[in-house]
Amino acid sequence: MSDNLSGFLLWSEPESVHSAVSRCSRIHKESEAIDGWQLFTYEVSERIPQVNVVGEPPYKHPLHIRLGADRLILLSNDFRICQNFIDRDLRPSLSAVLRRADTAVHDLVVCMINARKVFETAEGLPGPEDGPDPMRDPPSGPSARSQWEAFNRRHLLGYAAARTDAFGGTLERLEFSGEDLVENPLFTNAVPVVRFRSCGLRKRDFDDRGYPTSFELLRIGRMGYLSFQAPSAVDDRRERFKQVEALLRALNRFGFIR
Amino acid sequence: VEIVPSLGEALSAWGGRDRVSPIFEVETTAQVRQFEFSRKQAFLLFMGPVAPALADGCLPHLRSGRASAWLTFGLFNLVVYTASKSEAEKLTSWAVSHHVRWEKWLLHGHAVKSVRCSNRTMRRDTKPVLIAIQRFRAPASPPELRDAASEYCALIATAVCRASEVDSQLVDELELANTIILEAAAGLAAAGPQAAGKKTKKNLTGLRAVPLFVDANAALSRFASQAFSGMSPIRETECHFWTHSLLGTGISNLALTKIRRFITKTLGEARIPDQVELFKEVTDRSVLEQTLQDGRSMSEPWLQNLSSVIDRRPLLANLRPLAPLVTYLSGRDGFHTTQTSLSAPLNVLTSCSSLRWSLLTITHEMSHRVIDGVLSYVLPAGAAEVAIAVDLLNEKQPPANLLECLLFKIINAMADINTSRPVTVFPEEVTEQSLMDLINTRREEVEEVMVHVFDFIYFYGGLPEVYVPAIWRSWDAIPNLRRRLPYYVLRTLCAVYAKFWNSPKATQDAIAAVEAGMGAVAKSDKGNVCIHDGLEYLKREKEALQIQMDERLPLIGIVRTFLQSPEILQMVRGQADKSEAFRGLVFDGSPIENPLRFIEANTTSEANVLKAFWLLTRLAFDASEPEPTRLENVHP
Repeated sequence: MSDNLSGFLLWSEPESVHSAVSRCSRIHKESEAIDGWQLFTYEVSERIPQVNVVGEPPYKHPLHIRLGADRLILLSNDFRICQNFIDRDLRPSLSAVLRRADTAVHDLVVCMINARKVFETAEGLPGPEDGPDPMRDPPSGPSARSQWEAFNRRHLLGYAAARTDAFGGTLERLEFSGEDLVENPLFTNAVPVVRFRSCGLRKRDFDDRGYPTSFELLRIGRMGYLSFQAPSAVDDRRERFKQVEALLRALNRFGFIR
Repeated sequence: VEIVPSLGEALSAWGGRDRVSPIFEVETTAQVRQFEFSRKQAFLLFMGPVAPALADGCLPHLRSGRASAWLTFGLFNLVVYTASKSEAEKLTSWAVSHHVRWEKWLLHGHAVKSVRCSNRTMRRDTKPVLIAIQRFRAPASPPELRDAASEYCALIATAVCRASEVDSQLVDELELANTIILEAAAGLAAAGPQAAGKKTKKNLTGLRAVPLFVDANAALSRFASQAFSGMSPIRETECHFWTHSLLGTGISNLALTKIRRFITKTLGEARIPDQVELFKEVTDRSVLEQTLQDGRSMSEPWLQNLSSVIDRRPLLANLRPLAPLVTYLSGRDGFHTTQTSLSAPLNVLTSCSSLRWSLLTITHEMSHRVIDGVLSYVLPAGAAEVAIAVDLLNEKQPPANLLECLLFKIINAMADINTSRPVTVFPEEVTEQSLMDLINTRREEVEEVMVHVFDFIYFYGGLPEVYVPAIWRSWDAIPNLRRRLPYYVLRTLCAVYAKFWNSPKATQDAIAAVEAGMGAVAKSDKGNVCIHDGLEYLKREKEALQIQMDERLPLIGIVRTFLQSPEILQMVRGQADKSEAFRGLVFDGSPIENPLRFIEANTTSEANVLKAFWLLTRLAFDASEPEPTRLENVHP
């Protein structure tokens, strides 16, 4: 069994979010769950719209919180639980700005497509001294070029959802899913007429028999939305949380998370 | 210093040198009672420009209970009053650490005793621009040109220096605008006699550049005065928009600039007129025949096919940069574009959340720039092009390329319009003179029809339910509209027709959609005389309007087919998420992906001063700036 966790990545003024979380009276700390992640029970009397609950109030929801200096990750079994916590508990106890991260999903997808084109055809990767190149570089610029290449060798694009406004309403939403979307011309040809709103990043791996495979590590949406499968086995779960954090750190470093 | 509930209360004690600005109170947790000035020492801090979402972080420093905060339209857009010296110091420290400029007034009661301000910081070196301006030698004659050019130099230098303290991008834009204006002025002055096609006295040739400078001067003087007044030292920088004379309207000017940047980077950089110029290289007979006969190629957008029919990469090379229009507010000019400027009416400051004064009206003005550019390539200029056009119309030769096909269709549309309502003689055997007379008398109307179709497709997504109420509510603000009502009804029909182009009963569908849209406005806006008269006219004159629409179908078809590309439409109108409904006056700092869609989603039939302020502030700080449009195989 695994949990499907979803929630948000948020920014606030450095340090102020720590004291704000400690002032939220409806969360109760359960454990220092996994390497910096804290597990809380969020106990509410209200029914959170579209969240399934059984029995009578108070309703208890798990809430995973990861606090950084100016960063906060909130996860639960349903992102609406996190939203409820933000709106009704966290924001009122916080005197600084709190905003969901602006995740440049569209730019990420386009950059991954460009990277595949460039890295697979380039003879010898140019160094950072060659100057910025929007075809090769993530938003953070040429200094991250080699890490960006490594990122693209380790990850695949497996899911993308987009909106289009190019056809006067005759077509509005598109969804793509597969092992490696970047390889598919049906997908890449659609890019100029769509705007991606969420995407799923797969991590390359090997199956039990040693065959190369991949699994979806993280699904991210604009405005800080995150979702991933957390295995139930403790060690696997710890590893997954680490992988997700590392992925988010990389995306932040490349300039896709603002 | 006084804070009064309304301008009227300030006027009763007006001293002639008084200056005012509207401010909007922020509720803070520290505020325990209604604001009043302390009789002892207190501080009034002006800070900005700072995004309200970020400014929220400094308000917790106000703990004494004798403090208040306000947001303003000025570049000092946060004003804080506190009687506590330590709070004032914490606020200035916060401003310094967040790179926010500030000015602090020490008050005793209502009197300003002393003023301190943050160090003047240049965000961009102005020397290169100032040297370029200095190098430009204003000609000594004619005197009109000398005077206009001299004023221009002083104005652009002022604008650049003031902008350098606020935003380096503004300086970059002013530098580019200066280069383009000076080149254009030099070109106009030099091209005088040749362009006129006759001998001209030498000292008169320079006169052709005067209107360019006069126009730029009007825009720059307002821009500099409105945007940068109210910055340090506040008491020495008076804004000439008198209800904002204390703090200026910098936030609104920034919002306008953001909108202009978005449209320029998306639609402008798509270079539709430049692509249309390349139609002269499209000579495929099947394309030309289908175009002339309204055949299959006219049923769908075609512009995106250009790179597949011209075998050259990239299609557009050596593109000159687009002129960054100087944006300003003007009660007299209203929504208007010129070669150098873009203006919006002063009313947007109080009413831009209403459709009547919606900022979306800017899109109509920007559409004019595109269509004007397109027509300048299609319509003949110069003796050789006129001669070719005459031969085409007299059917002495068939169109040799797609550009000539469009010319043929547009001139025929002009002729048809002229036949039903003649304003000039256009004989069977076309002459050069009769052709130019026809173009000169009908160009404006043709451009208006094409602009409406273009605006409808690109900025309103081809949605009659959005477009019709939006334009008819905005037209209610136009004086003397009633006598021109028939034209406005007709233009609306032509625009909406584009949506139903492939429908078997397109005319009826267009009329029904316009009637529904106008009906919705009439129902909710009973005092709007224009809409009631317009609706009555539409219902009464359907048959006549059908005939007039038929005459203009080639114009609608040209815009819908040859000026439309899904990729460009996506750049202009695309967004990843559906527009969120208005969630209250919240400054959460969330990025605005598409400012035009944001305006559309937050504009209603009702005017609301607070909402207008919120809208402008959000646009100024949170509107994201897209990468310039780059079409594969088209752009370098």
